[in-house]
This record gives sequence, C-alpha cells and structure tokens, in this order.
Amino acid sequence: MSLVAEILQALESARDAHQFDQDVSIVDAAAEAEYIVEVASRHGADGARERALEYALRRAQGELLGHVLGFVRFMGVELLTDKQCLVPRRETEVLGRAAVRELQAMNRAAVNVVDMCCGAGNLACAIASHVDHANINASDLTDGTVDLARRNVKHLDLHARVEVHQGDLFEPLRGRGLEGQVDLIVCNPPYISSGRLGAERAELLDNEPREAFDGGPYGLTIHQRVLQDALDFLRPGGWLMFEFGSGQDRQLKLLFGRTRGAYVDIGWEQDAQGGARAAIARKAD
Amino acid sequence: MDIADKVRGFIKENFYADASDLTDEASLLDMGIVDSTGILELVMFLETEFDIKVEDQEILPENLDSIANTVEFVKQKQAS
Repeated sequence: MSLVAEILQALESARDAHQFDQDVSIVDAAAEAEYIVEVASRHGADGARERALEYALRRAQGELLGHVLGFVRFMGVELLTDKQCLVPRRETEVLGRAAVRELQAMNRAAVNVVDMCCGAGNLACAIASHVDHANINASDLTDGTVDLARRNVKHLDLHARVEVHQGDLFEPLRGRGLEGQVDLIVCNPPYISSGRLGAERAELLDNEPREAFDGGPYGLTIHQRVLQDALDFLRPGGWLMFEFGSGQDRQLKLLFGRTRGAYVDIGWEQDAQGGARAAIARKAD
Repeated sequence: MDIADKVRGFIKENFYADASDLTDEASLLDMGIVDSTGILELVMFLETEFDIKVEDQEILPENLDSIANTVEFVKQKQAS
C-alpha cells in the first residue's frame, strides 16, 4: 500500500467514526491525504512516513489541517497558518474567484484592490497571484493577523504589489490617495453573532481567535460599517464583494436597501451546494 | 393600540414567537426570536410604523432586545 493510500485510509476511518463539527470536517480526504504526504516528504524520505502518520493522527482527532501542517492551500496558493489567525476556509474561495473574474473582466492595465479584514492575507495573496496587474492594500485589526498576513506576502514574494496595514477597518487606508480610486474591495468579515459564539458555535473558539468570528450582537456590525465606509474608497462602478453567514442573505438585501441606491447590480455568489455565500455589488456611477 | 402592542404583534406575526413567553422584558436574543437573520426586519418595521430613522450604530441590544427596550427607544426617537 502506498503512503498516500495508507493516510487516506486513516482519514476516511476517522471521518466515518466521528461526527466532526462542520469547520473541521474532512470533506475531501483524498486531497488531504496527498497534501499530508507532500508536506511530510519535504524534508526528505527519511522519517516521511512517521511524520505523515503523525499528521494524519492529529487530523483524525479533529485538528484543522492548516494547524497540523502549518500550511493551507487557498485558490491553489500555499499560505502559512498559525493559531493567532483564522485558517482560510475553502468556502471563501467563492469570494476570491468572483474577485479574480471581475478584475480580469475590467480590462485595465492596472487595478487597485483592497482586502478588508484580511486575516492571514489569503484573499490578497491569492488575488495578487492570479491577477498580476493587481495592486493590493490589505488591512486587519489584530497583531496576530497582520503579522501572519505580512509573513504570507513575504513567503509568496508579493511585497511589490501587496501591502498590509493595521487598524480599525478602513482607518489605516485613509490619506494614502486611495479614496475614490479602488476598483474592487473584498471583505471576509466576522459574521457570527456574539450570542451564538457563546453557545452553539462555541467550539470555534477552541482553536482560533474570537476576533475572527464575532460579528457583534446581531452578526452584522462589520457588514454595516463596511457597506458605508467602502463608498469613500470605491471609484464609481467599482465592486464591493463580501462573504456572509449561511442564511444572512435576506438581511444583507435589507442592508443594501438601507444605503438608498448607493449600490447597484447587487448579486449573490453561490458555493458548490448552491447556497448564497458572498454578495457582490457595484458602487453607483 | 400602543407602541408595545404593535411591536408585540409584529414579532408574533413575523418571528413565530410563542405569545405566552413574550413578556415586555424578555430578551429577544436569548429567546432566539431575533438575531442576525431578523433584526433588520424589526428595524424596518419600526421606521415605517413609527416614522423614525434608526441609524446603524443604534441597532444594539440595549435599544432593541426586548419589547420594553424597543418601546423606550421608539419614544426617544419620536421625541428627538
């Protein structure tokens, strides 16, 4: 039996035996097994099997793959992870792919992008990797996220086109000549209500920081502020795109409605299961 | 019908709340009646029904998390 097959068998047994929380569930065991073996083999064949088996055991016990390996793949780009920051989730690729699609459709020689609430810098780095004429300003609040995002920019050698700032939402971006100049803003904000985070979703806080999830009392605080503040930075016709929680699409329609025509062409990006997971809209001309 | 009756009627009709539990002081968040999938419906109802404008930064539990809080908030907005 090959090492990949052995690891795959271990992951599949664990998946069948445990009822993991949604966020640590093993969705694609074959892809995970291959990645585990690849990372375990990076330091040579010596000890690779032992390392792979250790990784598989930790993963089988419900640890996030990103924490086990110290890496995660996001839109085909490998990023560093650590426990100070949310591990990029596969569902966020829905948002990243929509951003790449619209940036390429713009047909401009250079495009200005903002990644707000950038976390590990996954959207900024993936967009920069897929759109080589994109210049990106990313921002987040906490030391842990900004540090990791900067390390990812360095790890991927993107520092010529991606800059990471620290502060409260758009505040660190003000006064840098970006007002009214941004072609596209992506944002994956925290969107779980504080109450749910203290109850049925409390398991999320076992492994990752509260700031990555807590969207205020109603889970919409950051969305509300981003919808307003983004208008200062987008050029007319520029795109705002953000992720939201399952079932929040009705509330977001109402939030857009409350901006009284500031946004047009409001649409929804769906995940593989057909659920709306990201909103896209253009600033009115 | 006073403000409390109108708000209670809206919540019962739109959030399928159990009438017997819906006291003036009951927390709508704790009861699972209004959360991130419902708060804006309540806000838009208040704006339309009572001709007030609720700012984003006013969408807080201290203003909206019980019928009593909501009534007080609406009265303050109408007076201002």
